Amino acid sequence: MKFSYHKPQTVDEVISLLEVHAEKARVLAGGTDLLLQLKRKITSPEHLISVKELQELRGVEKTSESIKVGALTTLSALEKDNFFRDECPVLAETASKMASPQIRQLATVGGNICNSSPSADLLPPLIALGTKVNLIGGQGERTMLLEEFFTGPGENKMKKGEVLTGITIPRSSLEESKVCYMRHSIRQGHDIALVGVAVMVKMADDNQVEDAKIVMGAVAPTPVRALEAEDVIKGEIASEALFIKAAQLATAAASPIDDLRASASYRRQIVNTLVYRGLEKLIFGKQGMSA
Amino acid sequence: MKTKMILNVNGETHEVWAEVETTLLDVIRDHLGLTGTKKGCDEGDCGACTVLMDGAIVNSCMMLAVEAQNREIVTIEGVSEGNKLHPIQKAFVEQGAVQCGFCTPGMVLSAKALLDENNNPTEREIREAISGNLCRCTGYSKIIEAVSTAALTMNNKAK
Repeated sequence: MKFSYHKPQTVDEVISLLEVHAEKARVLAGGTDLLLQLKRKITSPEHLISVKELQELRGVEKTSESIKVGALTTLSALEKDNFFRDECPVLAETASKMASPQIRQLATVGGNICNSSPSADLLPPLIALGTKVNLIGGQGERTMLLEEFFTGPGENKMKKGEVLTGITIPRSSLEESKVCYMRHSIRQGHDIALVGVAVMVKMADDNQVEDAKIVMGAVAPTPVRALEAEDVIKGEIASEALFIKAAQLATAAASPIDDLRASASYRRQIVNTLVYRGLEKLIFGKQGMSA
Repeated sequence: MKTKMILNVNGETHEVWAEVETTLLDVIRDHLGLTGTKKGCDEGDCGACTVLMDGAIVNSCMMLAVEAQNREIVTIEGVSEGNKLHPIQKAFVEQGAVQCGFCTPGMVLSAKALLDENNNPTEREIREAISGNLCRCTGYSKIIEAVSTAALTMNNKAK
């Protein structure tokens, strides 16, 4: 790999550098995805722009309406800091299952989002929480739902010259609903997800499901919602039969591929199981094996 | 193009001139001559290149050396005190947790990071702490026992 290395001190400097160098530049945060791509010659940028000095990308903030998390927040911080364990335990738990302790120490929330892998573990739970991404570029700031951010494997709606500064999670999601992330991988540790399913439910009295989201990762070009499955459970009283129906509909909404790790048909079976277990865990408090 | 880097390794400051693309692992091994840190996969998967950075374990193969400036780096050479083995190293040797030895420096550093934070880890916690370090020889059992033993020794010394 061969490149010039830049260490800008402000967001404006980053935007300028991206404007000047355009396709020949890549932004470097934790580097755990980018350095691998460089080593394997999947990408060969002439300029690496480190964003590690940008304070705007750091920090967490709890306002009356939301939790804001800076893009440079590491997976290790998500896993260990009391702030996340208290405010969004599903993210802390999800982060703890990702990669290895060494990788988590460097890898960032922003990187996981911008790398836009279909199997990225943070994406389903963040989408289930109604998270928004905050972007800044030559045209100024903008924000969009994470759910609408992805367009394909490794691809998203960031414009040229834009930087992801952080994410905003609505407190209403965290406080009024329950979210879990169920994940299946071949190894227990240091492996990517074969299938990842995030489930969100908001319950009313008598175990009636007021609202639900089911977000599946690693089974389509981007994270996908199982809309029919969600519709079948909304407004209903929770029961095992209902979970079975939802799991079947969610499986139909998944479009996994055959690959080195597993066949599409195996992945479909896992989707079915994880959706069922996710609903069971959130609503009846049962802990299944795996995930 | 070579660039100047100032790295703090094992308590000593080093001025290194290297290409900006050089990883921390390559600087440690080739420029500083500290070959205890191993190059296994060079892709962040095996953990043989593990070093401590400000007390936490990282894969030195996945970091540019320039980005490790202004941090405290500890390699396996920085764990013993001269010829006196650290309790973790002693436990590894005495418990038979070393076979070919290639994973050992990384394992010891991951164990050290754990025990510095949690002086009475459960077996599960030990397994999770070394989950980023692969061993092809031992089957991990004796490594886990060695870490447990080291924890006991370190606690007894602290009393």
